[in-house]
Amino acid sequence: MVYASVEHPPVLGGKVKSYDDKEALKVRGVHQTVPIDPFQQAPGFQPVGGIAVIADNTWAAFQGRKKLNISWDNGPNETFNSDEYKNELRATSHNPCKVVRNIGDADAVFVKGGKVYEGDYYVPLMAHASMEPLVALAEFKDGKATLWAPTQNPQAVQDIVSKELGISKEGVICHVTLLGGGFGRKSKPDYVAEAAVLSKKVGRPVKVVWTREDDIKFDYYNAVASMYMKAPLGANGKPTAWLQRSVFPPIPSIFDVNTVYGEPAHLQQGWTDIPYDLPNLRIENGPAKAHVRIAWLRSVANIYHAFAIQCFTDELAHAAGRDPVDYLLDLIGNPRTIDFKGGQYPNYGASMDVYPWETGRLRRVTEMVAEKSGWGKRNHGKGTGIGIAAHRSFLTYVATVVEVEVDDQGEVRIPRVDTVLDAGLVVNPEATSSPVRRRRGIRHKYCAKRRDYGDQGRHRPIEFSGLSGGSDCRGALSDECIHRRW
Amino acid sequence: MIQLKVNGVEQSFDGEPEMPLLWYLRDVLDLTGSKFGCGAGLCGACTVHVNGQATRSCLTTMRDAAGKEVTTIEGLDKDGLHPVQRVWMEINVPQCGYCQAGQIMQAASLLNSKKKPTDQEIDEAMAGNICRCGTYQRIRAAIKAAAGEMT
Repeated sequence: MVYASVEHPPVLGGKVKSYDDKEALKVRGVHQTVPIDPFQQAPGFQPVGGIAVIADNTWAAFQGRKKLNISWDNGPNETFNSDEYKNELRATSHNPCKVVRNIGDADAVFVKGGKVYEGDYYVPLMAHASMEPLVALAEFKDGKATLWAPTQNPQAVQDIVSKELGISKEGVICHVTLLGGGFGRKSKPDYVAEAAVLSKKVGRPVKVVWTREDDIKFDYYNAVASMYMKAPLGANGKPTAWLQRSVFPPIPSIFDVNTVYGEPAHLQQGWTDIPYDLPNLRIENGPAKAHVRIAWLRSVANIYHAFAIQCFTDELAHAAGRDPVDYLLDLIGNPRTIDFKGGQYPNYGASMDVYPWETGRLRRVTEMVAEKSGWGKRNHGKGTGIGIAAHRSFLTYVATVVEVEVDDQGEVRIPRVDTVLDAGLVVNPEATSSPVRRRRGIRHKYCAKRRDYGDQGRHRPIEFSGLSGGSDCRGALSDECIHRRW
Repeated sequence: MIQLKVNGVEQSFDGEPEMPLLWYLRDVLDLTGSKFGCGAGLCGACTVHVNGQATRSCLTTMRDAAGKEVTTIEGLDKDGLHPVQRVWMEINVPQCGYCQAGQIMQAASLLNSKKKPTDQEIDEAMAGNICRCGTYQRIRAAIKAAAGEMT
């Protein structure tokens, strides 16, 4: 087996103009360099191309790579600039876009004038950043490819490797190793195809190791998104109309670069299914061309859509002078099943009869998290705030209360998070609680890195409702935390 | 020629002295329990013991490892049942597991120097070991439980 490290084009869609590997080959342990072809549009799961350094060990391959002298043609994305792109998305969201769901006539309310609230919300590109950077081992022998890789998608490995090597799918065997985290990144097997291509070219088993920098720079990112919101407030501060526009480069752009609108599968994720009981509601989606690879990351489009809707709701509550929990419940309205009236709502591929959109369940997690977090009952000192959000993602209803502290230096600290979720029937409580606890843990670490620990009493674990003061939440989910449907 | 001891076994290395210990362990000795996460000492996944001290093997060159005693996760206990490893299993700490060898080596080193660490001492000692799954609460609970077992 030999080891490989690949210098990819610095810009997606770029290619090698010329290269000089004289110095790289002088590095002790380096065997050879191997060019990998740039992908043919669209990128899909093809390798991104570049120059691979093949060596006795990973470190020698890394060192050799640093000594490569490559001249690049950066291709069509050379001028992509994330600040300008952000402005572009925002400008698009400030003009009429494609209507993807409508109730009543929001414009008729807007023209009546009065105080209208508007908000812009922006979420940047996000990398998966698994603990284990991408890695794959391939052996091409006797016309067949055998692969060992941490992949979430061995079928996609078979597809892309058979295409890249020009062999049948039956000739591709993929052994799935344990994943050092994936979060969706490892469902895109470009790195596995890279190992396969190299093994064929080198004639030996090749292990490709990506650096942490490669992992971040050549991710399939969660989409950057800009959301524009608009609502006038009427009696009791409730919106009389509601307009929301979301603009983001869509995931299918990795398969067709000309795709610029979100498809129902992603617009449904916390956007077209806004559960508020409003007489006038218009939901729009604007076009955005992708310049990097965009794909799935965990809850995917729910990330930016929930952020925009829940922040705007909170700002309206404050504008109306109302308690944010009461206000949120008021907007959700009475327990009912949302009827999408023939609109495109895929419901995550599940039947609407078996998994209807039930506002009563969203109310229930909201009420319960308010109660368990001591909402309205705890005193918050100077520089401390508390906020609530409630959302349905992948058929699960969840509400979270977060307490935030900001010190005199502007350092942010999150001393407490309470979460209640209703996932229906929970078959494996551990598998349900772990990812929820994760969010608390990451914030916890964020504080620790700033050496900003307070007294222990304030560092409480995620409190699923019903859990008090314990250091763990196992067992708690099966009893009181989860509102069961069955 | 660089001489060192790895998990109690004498080794000699005549390769590049600037090569980090991590890659010697993984690619030359095939001890793949120590993980590569960043190569810059920022994540702790590569943590091993060098002369008993928790050390980032991705930043330790073979030149620096010369003459030292290195212990990896494979050598922490011959049966994989060091008190820290036992409580790690009991409390079911890992999720994806990738950072855990580094976490365990860091925790074992802490308990060697402090028999009963406080929460703050645990947080300070473990602050350089990142877990993307967020298992921190159970890591802390496991270290406390292991401290009880090691007395």
